[in-house]
Amino acid sequence: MSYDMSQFYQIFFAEAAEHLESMESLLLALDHQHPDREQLNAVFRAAHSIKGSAGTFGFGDMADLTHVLEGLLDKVRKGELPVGNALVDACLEARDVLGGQLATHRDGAPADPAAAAAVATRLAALATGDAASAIGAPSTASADAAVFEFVCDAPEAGQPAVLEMLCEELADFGTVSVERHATSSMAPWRLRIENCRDAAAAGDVIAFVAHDVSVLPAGAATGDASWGLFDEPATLPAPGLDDSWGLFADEPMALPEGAAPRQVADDGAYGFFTDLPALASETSPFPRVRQTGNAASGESTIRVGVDKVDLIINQVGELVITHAMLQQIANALDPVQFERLHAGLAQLERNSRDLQASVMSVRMVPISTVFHRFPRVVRDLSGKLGKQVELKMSGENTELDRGLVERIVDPLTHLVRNSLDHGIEVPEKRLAAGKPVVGTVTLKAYQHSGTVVIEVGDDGSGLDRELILAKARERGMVVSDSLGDAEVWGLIFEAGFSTAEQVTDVSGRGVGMDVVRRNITALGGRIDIESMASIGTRMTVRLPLTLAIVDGMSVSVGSESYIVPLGYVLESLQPEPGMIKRMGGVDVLLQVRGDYLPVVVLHELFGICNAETDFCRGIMVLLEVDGRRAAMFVDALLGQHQVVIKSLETNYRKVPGVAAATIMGDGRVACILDAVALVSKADAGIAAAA
Amino acid sequence: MNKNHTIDDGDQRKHEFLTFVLGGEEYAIDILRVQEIRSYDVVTPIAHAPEFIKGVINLRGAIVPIIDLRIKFGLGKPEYTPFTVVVILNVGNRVVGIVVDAVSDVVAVTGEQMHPPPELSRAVDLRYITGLAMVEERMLIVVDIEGLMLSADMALVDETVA
Repeated sequence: MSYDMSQFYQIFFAEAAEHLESMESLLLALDHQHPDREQLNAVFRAAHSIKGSAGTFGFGDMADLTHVLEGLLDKVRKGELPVGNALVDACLEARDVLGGQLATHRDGAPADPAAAAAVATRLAALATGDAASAIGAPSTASADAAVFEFVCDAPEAGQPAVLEMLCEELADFGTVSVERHATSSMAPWRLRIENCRDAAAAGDVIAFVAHDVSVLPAGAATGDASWGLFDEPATLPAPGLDDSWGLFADEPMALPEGAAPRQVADDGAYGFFTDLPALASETSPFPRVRQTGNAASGESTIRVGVDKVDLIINQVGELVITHAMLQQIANALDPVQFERLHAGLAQLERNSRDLQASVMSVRMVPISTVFHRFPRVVRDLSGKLGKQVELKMSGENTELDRGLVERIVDPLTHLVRNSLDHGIEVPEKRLAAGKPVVGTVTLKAYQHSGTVVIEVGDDGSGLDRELILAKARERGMVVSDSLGDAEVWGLIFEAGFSTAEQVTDVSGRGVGMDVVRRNITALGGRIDIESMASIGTRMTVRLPLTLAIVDGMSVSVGSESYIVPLGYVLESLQPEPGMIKRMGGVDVLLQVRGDYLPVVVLHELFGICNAETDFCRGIMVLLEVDGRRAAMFVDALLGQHQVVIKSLETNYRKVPGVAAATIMGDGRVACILDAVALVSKADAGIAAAA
Repeated sequence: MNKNHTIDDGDQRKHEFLTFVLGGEEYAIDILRVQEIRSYDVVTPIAHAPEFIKGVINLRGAIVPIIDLRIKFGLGKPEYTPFTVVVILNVGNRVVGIVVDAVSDVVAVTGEQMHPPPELSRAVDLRYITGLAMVEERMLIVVDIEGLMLSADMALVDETVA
């Protein structure tokens, strides 16, 4: 193959990752007593898809491991092996190793061949445990087992004599068992040979009396020959089809013309991959789908690079601005004389707004892409901590911006781990407190007035107010017992704050909650805590719907306008002369209801001339970042907009005090202020003066 | 020095340059770096920027910084009239605009017509002057525009990047 495969690698990585994800969620959802056949099949299919494409792309390690996994799963779905914790654990472990291998191929991260080998052994042991006991052979037996499937050539096919003959012939190679007896001449037969010494030679013997011979994967690791065959399905069904056609022409009892080829084709493809008659209709499209390199689910989706979507969003944004410009010009024209122009513009506005909304929705993904990992987290952790925890999730279909999804994973994982570690009590304590033994962690997502709200709740012991206060004092913070609950809970967001009595590898190092809050703030969101002793704790994360748009307040300074992200704005006021205090002759403080706030004078900071210099004639905008407050002095408030965030750094550099830029309705550029930096600067200024 | 501009004397191939006027002097830049030419429009000033960075404009959705080369080179009066021209450049995956007095034409220059720059230059760092080109009695100052725009003293790129 001379052409470059690397262009398809990205597709493979994305697909394989998806299959691994679905495999995990399916495994976790399995009911151990009454496993759903459909689910088992879906898990099998995921493993099978990965194996197929990994082989195609030459990622041998992944193909080998999935091959073993697939063998095991195949037995499970046939009911030969029971579903149990050990099995699910082994499969999950295999899934993790596969994820690691995938990362290795994608990013060049270091691989761990030992882990792969270990998990493969474990899977094989599980798979052979059954086979070994069934036939009393050593546990390595199934490694050499071969399953042959073929359509018999002989006209007397279907007669027991033929089969007996064949079995006798094959007995030289190993223990022969008939897995499926063909009922009619065109249906494939299936023979299983345990301890097969020479699969290729056995295949030759069968080929003597049959055609369309294929070697199927048997249980665990089969020989290279079978694997190679399996990997390239395209080569086999074709000749098989032709041959059976020929057979059919001679067949006196031929089926109606139209039906015959189809059935054979179906059979060939299907028998080749699986042997579950009940699943014929479902598994038959499988190989075809895989050949086209598509996801097995058959959803009507396309993969598009995010940069392409962003480009479209950009261009639609331009369209909206162009419309605004046209509208401005049209407003100067006589509405009677230019009635049709106005009507046309109104329609253009509607259309472009609709277009903008639809394009933005392309970037939106359901939050289930974040949530799906938590069942695993909870399962693993609760086992490790010796707690019994049930995870309840709701609102998985709530949509939010793709960029947000990627960056909310870590903070949310941290919150869930915290809930498990600190929130939920050990079973004995829960019983003593009269609560159900099984603790509940709830994950809930919904949209609320332009924001996405994600709640992480638990029915654990709640935050310990006294303990937090004591810790705060220990760390030298000035706190009083009269602090409100919300303020006390806020203390756990301080850097290095941990109330865990002992550091576990789960949490308690105190490098968590401050990072969680910083990450969430960086996304333009915020986090609140509600907690009641012995009832539980609820962390509420509020995020903007999208990263590309921010709610902003536009302010003017001199002839310039700036955007302040609304999330940081507490209030705006016009100061009275008595409210302005000076410190050290230079720094300005604003007295608001007993508080003295440092003032950032924007026109001084940015060196803007002809701005308002009299504090009492301008506006003070009060900002709050991470509990720190400052006032910002501007000339006037202009209004409130939703603005599209544009990077300044694409073509320019980072500017102190400016977070990004945006394009206003008139096509001009306005800078979005970096409230975090401004407040820190004000704080630092005061600290330096004091 | 940028390889696109390195022209040795024996090179007979022609390189095309866009020429423009800055305070009476004629400059030439590699035509392949030029994305488009547009008239000067309102810019949004940027705080803490050097004087020659006029600010940023919205170029079809992209935020593009505008540099007045007349101020940078100390040539001519930085006047902004309806005829003031901005040349939008593509340099090192970035888009920047430069303000010039006027764009003249596109000329083809062969290696023979190129002469090394004289050892005297006031505002322009000699590193970014590829040479002088003599074309039909005109003397063109050939500038390595990419090198100049990405240089540290243009303050266009973050120090870490530059």
